[in-house]
Amino acid sequence: MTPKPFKSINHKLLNYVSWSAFVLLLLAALLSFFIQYERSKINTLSMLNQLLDTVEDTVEVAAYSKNEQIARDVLKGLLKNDIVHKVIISSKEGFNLDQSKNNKSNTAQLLSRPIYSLFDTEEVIGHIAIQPSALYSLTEAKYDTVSNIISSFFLIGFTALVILWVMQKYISRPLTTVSNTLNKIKLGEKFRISPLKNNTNDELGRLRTDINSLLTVLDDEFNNEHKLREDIEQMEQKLRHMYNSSSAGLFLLDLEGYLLTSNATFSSILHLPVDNKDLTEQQRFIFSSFIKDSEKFDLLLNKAIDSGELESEDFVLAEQKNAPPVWVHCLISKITDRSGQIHLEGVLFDVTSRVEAEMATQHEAEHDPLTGLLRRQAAQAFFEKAAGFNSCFFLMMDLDGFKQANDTYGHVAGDKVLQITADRLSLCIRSTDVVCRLGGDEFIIILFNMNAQQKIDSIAEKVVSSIQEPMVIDENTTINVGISVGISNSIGKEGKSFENMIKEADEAMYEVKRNGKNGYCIKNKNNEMILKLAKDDFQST
Amino acid sequence: MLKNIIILLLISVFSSQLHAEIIVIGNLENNIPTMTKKKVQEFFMGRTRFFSNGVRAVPIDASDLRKGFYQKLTHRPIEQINAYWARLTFSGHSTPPSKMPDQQAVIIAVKKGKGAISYINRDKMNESQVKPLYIFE
Repeated sequence: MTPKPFKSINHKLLNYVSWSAFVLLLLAALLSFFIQYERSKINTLSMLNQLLDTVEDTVEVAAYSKNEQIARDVLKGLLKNDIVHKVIISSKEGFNLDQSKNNKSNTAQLLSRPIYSLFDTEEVIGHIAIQPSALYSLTEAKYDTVSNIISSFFLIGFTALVILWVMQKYISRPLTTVSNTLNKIKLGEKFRISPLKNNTNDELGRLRTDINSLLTVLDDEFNNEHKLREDIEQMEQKLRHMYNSSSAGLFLLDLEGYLLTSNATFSSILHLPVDNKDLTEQQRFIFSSFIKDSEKFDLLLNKAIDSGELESEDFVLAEQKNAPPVWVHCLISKITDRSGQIHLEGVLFDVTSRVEAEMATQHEAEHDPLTGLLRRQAAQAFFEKAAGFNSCFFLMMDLDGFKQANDTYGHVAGDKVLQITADRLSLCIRSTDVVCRLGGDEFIIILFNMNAQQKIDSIAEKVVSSIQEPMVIDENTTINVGISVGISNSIGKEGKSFENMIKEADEAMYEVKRNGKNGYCIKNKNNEMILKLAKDDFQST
Repeated sequence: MLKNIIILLLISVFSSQLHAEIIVIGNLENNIPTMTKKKVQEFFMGRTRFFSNGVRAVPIDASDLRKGFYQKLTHRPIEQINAYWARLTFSGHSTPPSKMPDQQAVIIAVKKGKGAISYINRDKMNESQVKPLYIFE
């Protein structure tokens, strides 16, 4: 429905009052006409009766004496009246007169009365009848009505004017003033409705006072609200600033792990192109898809949901193209908001540099700085971690002729020999195996999961052969060293310690040293030492 | 008191005269039966002009008896009767009964005219001269 156009109450008032006055006038005229018409009809009747009364005696005489002349005079006299249209006078055994004014037909009722004998009031000797003029009553009524309309017009019109004037002065004008003022007032403005001089002590005056006080209250409320909103905005800005500029990535997940909202730092840590504030349904994504080991992250989520405590762990992010791995420390805790919905609140720190430092430290602790090989403790840790493997071989090694080379060519050359040895040893083993420098020129190789004796032999032969190759230190220096290898194994000896393995291998190695070096020694099935030297072409003696 | 007695006496004299019997009379040769009071009225008030036998009626008033006669006949004062006749006379179509000075003249007039009709006191009645037509009680 379209709103109706604005129409002033003054205008409406004028309209309604004029129309009702007009209608009232019309009704009054109609009513007056009908009343006057009826009254006129009664009047006419009574006038006719009076006329008959007047001529009755004469007519009686005329009828009794059968004197037509008198009757004719009476008839003429009667017809002279405006009110009379037609007269009939009849006498028994005498005359019968019937005359009307003109030839117009007339349906008005005849007023008839009998004529009695002069001397016998019971004997009817004739009749007289009068028909009234048809338009007489109507004309009378019309005149009366017109005069009534004129008087009603002045009366009703004057009353309407007075009512209009009073209503305008005391009601509609002040109302218009109030309405116009209210219409112009905007919230926060100090406008008030000016006093209504005609309505100081009535309802409108009270309305004005009440509206003004309401406006004052509203103003105060509005100002308070405004102030409050500004405070809140400021606080929100501060919090938002804190939230956005925080060095930690802050985010909110739902129970299924979908990201609900996050701050700028979060996006920058994850290298997200967009600002992920308030994501829509379609844009949502599972946060764990950003974690390399997403199962581990899901475990953390479940842990946080189950425990309700703050849970934390380090993760590597899923690899980005042309970028080094990123480490993050992630804290997750369960929160319940006001509406009772459960969310997961998370904090994300980029800890790549810390983890890198830690890893560097650990690498340093585990590796020999000169050769880059594992240190003894690290090797032991590897062995103990792999203790479940059923078979494991230790190759205990010591360089032959290293001391001499060291003394002859100096420490630098010695160190170079050790480095070359380490490189060559590393080439002899599988990727799952471990090479370790015990110290000085002593090394061990740990071969995991090794069952075939033949394979051991080939590795040992390869080790001895590769070390025997001349080592080029610089343009002028080439050094030749040999190596003695003692082998121990853990087959059928579950829970054998690292120390024991080394000790056994050490014993086997010394067997080589005693018997001419440059070879290896391994126990056979009967626990007998089998010595295989390079000079014998690794044939057992 | 005396005055009242005189008035009473006068009234009784007049009333005795009024109550004296009046007889309506007609010509002996006019062979009509006796008539009703109404018929008498019609002849004297000009409503009927002919007797049932076709003889034209000529009503005659007796001046000395007229007032009493009309009183008995119409129960109206003589002034109204006069007025009645004045109205009719003015129209030009009717004439009132001719007047005779006394009953004697009346009897002579009735003896003369066949259609004559008039009235006399009972004591003047002589059936050999006129015919009684109606007797007032």
